[in-house]
Amino acid sequence: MKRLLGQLDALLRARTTDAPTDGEPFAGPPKRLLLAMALALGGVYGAFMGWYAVRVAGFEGLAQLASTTVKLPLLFLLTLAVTFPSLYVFNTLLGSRLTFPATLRLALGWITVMLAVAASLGPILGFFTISADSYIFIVILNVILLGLSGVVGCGALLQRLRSPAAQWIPRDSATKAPPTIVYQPADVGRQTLFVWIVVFGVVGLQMAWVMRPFIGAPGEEFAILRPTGSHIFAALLRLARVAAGAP
Amino acid sequence: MLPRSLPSDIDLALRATLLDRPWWAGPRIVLLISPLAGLAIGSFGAVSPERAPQMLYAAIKLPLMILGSAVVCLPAFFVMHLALRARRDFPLAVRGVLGGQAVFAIALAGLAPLIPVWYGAVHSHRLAILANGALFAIASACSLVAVARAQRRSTGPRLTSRALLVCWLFLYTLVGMQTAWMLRPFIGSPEAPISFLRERPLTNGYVAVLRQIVGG
Repeated sequence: MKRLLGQLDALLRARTTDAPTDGEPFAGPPKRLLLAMALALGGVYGAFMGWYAVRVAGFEGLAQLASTTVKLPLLFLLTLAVTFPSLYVFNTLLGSRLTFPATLRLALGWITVMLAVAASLGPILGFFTISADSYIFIVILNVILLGLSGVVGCGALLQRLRSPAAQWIPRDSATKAPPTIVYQPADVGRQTLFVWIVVFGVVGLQMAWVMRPFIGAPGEEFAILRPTGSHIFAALLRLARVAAGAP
Repeated sequence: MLPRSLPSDIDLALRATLLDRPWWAGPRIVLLISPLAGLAIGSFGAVSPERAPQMLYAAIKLPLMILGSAVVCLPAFFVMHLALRARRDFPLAVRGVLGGQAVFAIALAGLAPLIPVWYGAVHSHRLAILANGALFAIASACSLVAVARAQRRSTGPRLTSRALLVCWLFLYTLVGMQTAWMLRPFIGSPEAPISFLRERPLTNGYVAVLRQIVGG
């Protein structure tokens, strides 16, 4: 356990090795451990999120709590599974030095950092769940807290993308010289981050829509997944129309 | 089953350094990777088992479309090199173009997992076509970046190599759209029966689209 926390600490501090190699430029936990950490940390936040259902419905809400505990980390991991191939393609085309496994580890690290921040915000969500019972307030609070963890996670990702270990200068076929590391303008990292946020964000929103309910509106029957159809943006548009007073 | 150098070839292609590998490394990537994108593109309405063959058909047709168009364009590309006195740069240009095709296939396959997610969300054939249009546009842009990077190594005058690149783009787009038309359907209209090719494949796609617009 102590070692695990040490690994998490190294991840959050975004430690990089002094002598980067092509394959694994970043120090920190291996991929399998990152996956386990993401599941556990996401589960912590998911449990706080599902707690609202217990507060509203008592014992019957436990099913929602259990379901959200499992679904929240899965939401992040499934989104990554769908988007990762395109993230790798854009990352490499834009000039990153990372290989496929190294990019995967970077992306998993990104998700783990986001979920770690979210888990650390969990007690705050729990505090509000006890003290305020408005459903809309809890929904908005969840959006804000998850948004905050997203921002912090993306900041951590940007630092890594900008680190010299991640910058790539193509090998010159004429001289057959090995790849050299040079400091490039920060643009490569920023462009990559922008593409990652857009792709991951849009797919993540839709994935969250498909995997709802997470909080469980009071009065609605518990379901692991609601019957879908349509997409999140149509739903948001409808919500905006209702908010604007349309019939 | 898959060649062991495939992952590193994919990585090299994305960095526009596939020139160090044998010439067939690019086409091999297209043959092995683009069927994955075909599976995703053909998965529209694949929940019903009778629509499932469309996935297989699209997976077979996509590499044919990418490589077939290139084969049709290459002779003209060669003559253009002769005409602009860039004969010496031709092998390098072909390698660059083949690498670009590999990047096209990789980008298609990389973005492909998003396509079923989209199909699941919209259930509309028109929006499915729109998404595929966007998919091909993004993949073409990726491929263009790679071809332009590879071309920087040519020794000839910069203006000539730029002009040849533009010529290639024009030719390949012209031929590629017609090839795609002949090999349709890729997505498969929900009303039409599943088939490998449409009834009259040898018609002109541009004329057909123009007729749709004008309504004649």
